[in-house]
Amino acid sequence: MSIVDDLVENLVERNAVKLNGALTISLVEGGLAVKGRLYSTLRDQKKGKDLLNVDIPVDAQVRVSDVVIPVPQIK
Amino acid sequence: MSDVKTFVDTLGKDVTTVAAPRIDALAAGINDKIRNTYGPRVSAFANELVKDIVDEQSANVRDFVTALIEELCQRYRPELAGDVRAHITQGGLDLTGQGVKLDLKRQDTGAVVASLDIPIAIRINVSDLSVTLKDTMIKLDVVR
Repeated sequence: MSIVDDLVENLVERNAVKLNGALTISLVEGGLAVKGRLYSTLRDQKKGKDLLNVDIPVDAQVRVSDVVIPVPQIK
Repeated sequence: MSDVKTFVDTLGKDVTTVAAPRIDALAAGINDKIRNTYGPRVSAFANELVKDIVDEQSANVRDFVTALIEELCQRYRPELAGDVRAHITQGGLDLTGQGVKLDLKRQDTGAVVASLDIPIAIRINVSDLSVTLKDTMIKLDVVR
């Protein structure tokens, strides 16, 4: 096993990501809008210590094209 | 002449005095008889007649309607055609019909007998959706 593998393995096993925040999903003309803010914390579980705090503002828009639904047939 | 007139008047008064009460009594008697005897019998007869008509004819009407419906179902075939287009708009969803119609076709030939256009324009309001994350832990496992 390489040093890099060991490093990654240790990082993955020791650390966990904690997420907080709120998102609002709303319908807008032609699609969906997602707005909000996420707070992410990378925590070293072995040492019980937070390593990294990340503030993630979210403002995304997803375009959804029209959906054509054929009417059901009468059997 | 005066004597004759007096005679007729006297006779008339006498006949009226004697006959009128009898006619009144006869009329009252007939009236009572009709009300108490013949009336109920006529009413009972009418009820019985209506009941008989309903009893005897209901089966005929039922058979006729059933046969008519069967024949119509065998003769015609309904078909829905067209599309419904869903379009997302601000705060909602618009559903619009495009060429939606109900065709009534002949079973044997497929020819359209009647066609009914069905206009569709529906708006569904959708409120904003909130998603809250609270201490959501993401852990990774090493694949060995």
